[in-house]
Amino acid sequence: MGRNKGILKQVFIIINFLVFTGLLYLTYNKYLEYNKNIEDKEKIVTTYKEITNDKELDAGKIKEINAKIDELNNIDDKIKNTKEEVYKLSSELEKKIKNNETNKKIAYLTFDDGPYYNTYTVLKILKENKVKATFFTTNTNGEYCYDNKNANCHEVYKAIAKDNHTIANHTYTHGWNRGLYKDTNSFMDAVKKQENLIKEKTGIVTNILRFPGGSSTPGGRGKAMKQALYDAGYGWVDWTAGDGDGGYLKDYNTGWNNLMKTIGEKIEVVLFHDYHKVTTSLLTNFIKYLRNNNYIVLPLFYDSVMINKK
Amino acid sequence: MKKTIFLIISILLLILAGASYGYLYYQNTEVEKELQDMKENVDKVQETINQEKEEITEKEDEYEKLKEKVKENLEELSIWEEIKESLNKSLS
Repeated sequence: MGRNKGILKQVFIIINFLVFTGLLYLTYNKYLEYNKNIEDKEKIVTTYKEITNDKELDAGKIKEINAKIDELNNIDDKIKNTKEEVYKLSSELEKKIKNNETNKKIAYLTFDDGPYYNTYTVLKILKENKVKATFFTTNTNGEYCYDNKNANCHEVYKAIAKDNHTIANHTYTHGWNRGLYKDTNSFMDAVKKQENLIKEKTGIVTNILRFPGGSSTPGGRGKAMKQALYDAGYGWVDWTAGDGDGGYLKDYNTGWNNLMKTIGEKIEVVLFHDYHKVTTSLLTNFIKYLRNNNYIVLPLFYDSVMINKK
Repeated sequence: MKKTIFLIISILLLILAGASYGYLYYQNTEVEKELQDMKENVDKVQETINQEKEEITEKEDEYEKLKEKVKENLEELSIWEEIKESLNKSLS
């Protein structure tokens, strides 16, 4: 009996030992597993911090790009607002000039009968000299340029508008010798057609017109036409100086002399035609001459004193 | 007597080993749960980041296309500001 008890105790001890060893082994493995999970957890925390940081950087970058895109949109508004301020200041300067309160002078450069293919050259020269001008446009050329049949002249409207020059009306047909001034209806019909063309190509609604041939060309019918223009919200303008490129203009010197003979007023409206190569050849020097002689070169605007309202 | 003491000690060690294993098992289960949750969070954030990166690429493309226009518009604005400055000087 005593011997059996002793054997049982030994067996129990052995079993205990085995179980204990087994538990130790399992505990050790569990400990290793636990440590690995703790390491993984720390790695995940680091990864989480890194990607959260990335997310903030990305959010910052999106904000930065949106701000730049907004800046672009604001620039269009800024240009628009600055233009309005220029017109307002131009009005004030005109008043001062008319009242002899300043030595400063104004020159409005105007280009008639376009667009032409050569208008691109005019635009380039104006941009180089940082000048804004006025283009009195007509559709006598139709869609294809008179001076380059391969070029689409309706595209030139967009180039003029893109550079923010004043786009004005010179009637659809320019037909002063082809029935344009036959009666007020024919005249206003040509005005409206050109207005619609300008709007279609550029989105701009113009309210400034120059009579083809000048405001005296309609003769006795002119008064009614001027009233009709006024009723339609238009103002009109002739010119005070020019290089003579509307007729036969031989060369640079002739053009220059014509300008020097006609320039002299404190507010000038200078007549050019955008197809004429002599005009484009003297344009830069003429702009320099104007600036050296106290002229500010400006684009026409509706409220200018030079725009006749009746 | 010695054997009895030895027996008691071995039982106690057994209990201790068992308790240690149980404790570690419980702790490990908790850590594994946390780890799983964290992995899911990381995946969610990573997905958001991937979407944002796509958005950034699209916006950068949009911006690149507009970039030339900004440059031209800035030049255009500077011309108008020069004209304005010139008028201001003339009026002062």
